[in-house]
Amino acid sequence: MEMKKMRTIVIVTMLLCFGMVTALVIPSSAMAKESTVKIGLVMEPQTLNPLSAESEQNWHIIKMIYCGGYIDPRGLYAYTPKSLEWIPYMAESMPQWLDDKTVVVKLKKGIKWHDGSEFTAEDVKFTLDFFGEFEAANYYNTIDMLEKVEVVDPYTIKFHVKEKTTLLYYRTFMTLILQKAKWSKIVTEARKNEAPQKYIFNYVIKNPVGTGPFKFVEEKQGQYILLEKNDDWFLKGQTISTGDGGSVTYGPFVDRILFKFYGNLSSAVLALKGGEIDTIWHGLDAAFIPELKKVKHLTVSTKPYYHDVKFAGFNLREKPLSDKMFRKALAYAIDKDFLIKRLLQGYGTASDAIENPGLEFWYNGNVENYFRGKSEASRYSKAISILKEAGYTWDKEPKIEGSRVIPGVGIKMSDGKKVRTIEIITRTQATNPQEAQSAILISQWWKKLGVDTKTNLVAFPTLINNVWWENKFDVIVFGNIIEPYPVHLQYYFDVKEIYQYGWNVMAYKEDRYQKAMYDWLKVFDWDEARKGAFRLQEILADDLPHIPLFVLKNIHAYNHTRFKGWIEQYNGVVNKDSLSCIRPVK
Amino acid sequence: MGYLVNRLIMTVITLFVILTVTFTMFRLMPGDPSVFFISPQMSTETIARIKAQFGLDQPIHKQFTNYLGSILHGNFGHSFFYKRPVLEVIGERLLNTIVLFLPAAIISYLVGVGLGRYMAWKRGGTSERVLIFTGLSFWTFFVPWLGLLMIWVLSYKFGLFPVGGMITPDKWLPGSTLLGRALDLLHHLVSPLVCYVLTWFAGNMLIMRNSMLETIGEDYILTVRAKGLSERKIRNKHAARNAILPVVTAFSMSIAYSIGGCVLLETVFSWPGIGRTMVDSVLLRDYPLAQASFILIATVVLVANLITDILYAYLDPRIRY
Repeated sequence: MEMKKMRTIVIVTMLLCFGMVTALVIPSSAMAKESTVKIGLVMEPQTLNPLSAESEQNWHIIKMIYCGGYIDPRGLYAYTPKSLEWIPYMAESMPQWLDDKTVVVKLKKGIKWHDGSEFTAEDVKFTLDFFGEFEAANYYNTIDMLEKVEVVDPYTIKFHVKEKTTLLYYRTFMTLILQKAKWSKIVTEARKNEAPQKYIFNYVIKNPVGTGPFKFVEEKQGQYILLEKNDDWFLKGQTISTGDGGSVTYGPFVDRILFKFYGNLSSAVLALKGGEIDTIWHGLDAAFIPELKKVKHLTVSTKPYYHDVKFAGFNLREKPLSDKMFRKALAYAIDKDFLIKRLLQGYGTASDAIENPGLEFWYNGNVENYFRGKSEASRYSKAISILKEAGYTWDKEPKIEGSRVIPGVGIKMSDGKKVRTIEIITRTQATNPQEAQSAILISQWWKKLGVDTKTNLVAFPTLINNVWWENKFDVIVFGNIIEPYPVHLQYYFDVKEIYQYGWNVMAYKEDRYQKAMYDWLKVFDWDEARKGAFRLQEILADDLPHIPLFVLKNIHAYNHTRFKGWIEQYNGVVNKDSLSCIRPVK
Repeated sequence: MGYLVNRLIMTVITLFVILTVTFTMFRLMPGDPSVFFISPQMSTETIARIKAQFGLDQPIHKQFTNYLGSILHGNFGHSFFYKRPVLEVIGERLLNTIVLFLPAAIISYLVGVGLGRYMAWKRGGTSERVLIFTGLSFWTFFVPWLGLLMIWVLSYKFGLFPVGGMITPDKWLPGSTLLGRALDLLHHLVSPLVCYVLTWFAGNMLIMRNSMLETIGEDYILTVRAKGLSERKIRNKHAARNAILPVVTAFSMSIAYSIGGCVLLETVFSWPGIGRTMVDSVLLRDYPLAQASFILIATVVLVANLITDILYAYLDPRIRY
C-alpha cells in the first residue's frame, strides 16, 4: 500500500510537470507569428456598449474600436496629438457657420465601418437623434445645445443650434458616432419595451462595429479582449503634424492588441517585468518606478501629467465656508510642497489653478498661489492675520514662535458663534490613497488654525450620494477631470449647474466669473480663448471655491524591445495615438 | 426521510431570512446605485423617469416583493455594473471558481487528512514536530503575501507559471487543440491551487491528528490489535474512519470560510472567479449582483451542511435520523 501511495504521488507530480512543460512548448497559434501588443488592465471592462460604459479602462478599449488616433476623438473633430488644437477627424474641414444658429459640417469620404459599409451623414444624424430620444446619460450633454440635425447630402450635415458657443465643438462635434445600420434595430426593439432607457443601457454588445484602427475579435469575460488591425482605417498611412513641430504616421502597424485583465496592480507589474505583457494602461504608483527602471527591456515614462487636478472643494452654501476670507486662510495652511515631496515622492506637480500644469497653453501659472516660496510660519502668520481682519476670534489664539506654529483652539465667527466641526469627505485609502492621505494632512493643518476638522473616508457611491446627490458635505477632496480644451471652467463653476445632481456642487455663483465665463464660451479664436481662460483661472484663484492641490505625473512603462514609436502625450505614453502608430522592433 | 424533509424546509426558511436581511442591508447602506445610469445634466423629471424604469423609485417593501417575484421566476435582474443579466455574470464566474476551488479543496482535504493520520500514528516524533511547525506557518501566512511571493519566485524569477489569469489567449484561438487548451488551463491552475493547499491543509491536518489521537486510545483499537490485524489496517480502517467525522464537519464549514480566501486568492492570481466579483459588486452598490452572490454563497453553505449531515449517517452507522 505504501508503494501504491508513493506511485500515486509520483504519477500526480509527473502529470503536473508534464502539464507545465507541455503548456510551455505547445506552439501558439496565429498570435505567436503575428505582432501582438499585450496590454495589462487592472480593472476589467464592464461592457462594450458605449451607451453604458463608464470606467476609464472600458473606454480605452471602446475608443480603439470606435475611433483611435488623435486626442479624444470620438466623432467629427479631435485634438492634435500634442498641441491639442481642434482638428477635423471624420469631418473633412472645420465647421462653417452660416449664421449664429446654423453650422454646416462636411464629412470625409471613404470612411468605412468595420463591416465594410460606408460612414455617412445618416449615421451622424441617427446618433444624435438617438441620444436625444433616449436621454443617454453619457451623452446627455452632447445634444442639449441642438435644435435639429439635418442631412444635406451623404457627406454634409447641417446643425441648427440654440446659440453659437464653443461648447458645441467639444461636446457635440466630438461625441462618438454609432452605426445606424446596427443600432437602428436595437432602437426599434427599445421603443417597443416598456423601459426603453433600461433596455438600451443593459443591451449587451457582443460584436461592436466602429470605424477605428482596430476591430473586435473576441472577449473572454474577466480574462481578455482581443482586437485585430483594421487595414481600412481611414487614417492609415497618413502623416499629420502633432502641432509642436513634429509629426506622426498612422498605421496600425501591429496585427493585434490583447487587453489582459489582472486582479491587482502588483501582479500586473510582475507580468510586465517578466515580459508577459508589453505595457499597463494604467497610471503606476511612484513606488514601482525604482524596480521598473532596473528592468532592461522597459522604458519608464514620467514626463506628462495626468488629466485630473486634485482639489479641496468647499460647500459654499453655509457659513463659515461661504466666507472667502475664511477659505483664503485655509488655503494658506495647506503645504503643497509637503504633499508633492512626501506624499507623491516627487511624482507630481503643485497646481495653482484648476488646470493641468502639463497643458502649458491653457495653464495660468501666475495666479495667487498661497504657498510658493513661503515658510510654514509665514503662511500661518498670513492666515491668522486674514482671520483676525475678518473678525474671527479664538478660545486660544494660534501663535507663531520663531519657525513654530502653536495651534489655536476654538475658532469663532465674527458674530461670536463657534465654528462647527468641518468634515472633509473623500474616497477611501484603498480607492485613492493620494486623495485620502491629502485629506488627512489637510485636516491636521487646518486644526492648527483652531478649526475643528474630521475626515470621512467613504466608498465612491457614498461620496457621489453625499456630495452630488444630497449636497451634504463641507469639504471634498477629489479630482477634477481636465479636458484638452478647458471646458471644466464652465461646467464645474456655471451657476446653471447648481441643482441636485448638478456639476457645480460647491454652489459657486460669483457674478464676475459667470459673466467672464459666458463671454469666453463665445470666443472661437484660439489666442483670445487662452486669454479668457487665464482670466477665469485668476478669478477662481481669488475666490477659491476650491483649492487646487496637485496633479500626479502619469507613470507608464512599456517594453521598448518589442515595439517602437510610442508617443508621449499629456495623458501618458500609453494612449490611442501610440497604439495606432507603434511598430514591431523586429 | 422525515428528517430530510424537515431539513429542506429549514434550509428554505433560512434562505428566505438571509435574502431578506441581505436585501435590507444593501438598501440601508449609504450610496445611490442610480449613479450608474443618470447624468448630472439631466433634468429632475428625466432622472425620475429613468429611476422608475429600474424600479428604484418604489418604496422598499414594493422593491422587495418585486424582487422576490423575480427570483421565483429565476430572474435575478441585470447587473448595474456589468450591464448584463446577473445569472450570466455569476454563471461564468462561478464555473471558474469551481475549477480552481473544488480540486484545491479536495487536495487540501486529502493532504490534511493524510498527514494528520500519519502524525497521530507517529506521535512524539520529529516528523510530527516538523509538520506542525510547517502547517501552522502556512496556516498563519497572509494569503495575498504568500500569493505574491509565489508569483515573484515561480513566475517572475523562474518563469515556470503565468503571473495570473486562467488561460493564455493565443493558446485558445481557433485552431488550438483541446489537449492544448486543457494543459494551458492546468498550467495556470498550479500556482493558485498550491497557494490554496498550502494555506488550508493545516486546518484539516490538525483536526484529523487530534481526532485520531483520541480514537487510537479507545478500547476497540486495543481489541483489533489483539486480534492481530496489521498496523496499516488498524490505522486506516478502524482508527481513521472513526476519527474522520470532525474533519467532515470542518470540511463543510471550510467551504464557507474559503470564500473569504477565494476573494483574496482570485485577486492576487487574477483568477476571474465569483469572489472578486462579489466584493466589487458590494463596493459599487451593484445590488442585483451582490444580492445574488450572497444568496448563492448562503445556498452553498446550507447545502454543504445538509450534505454533511447525510454523510455523517453514511460514515457512522450509529447515527440515524
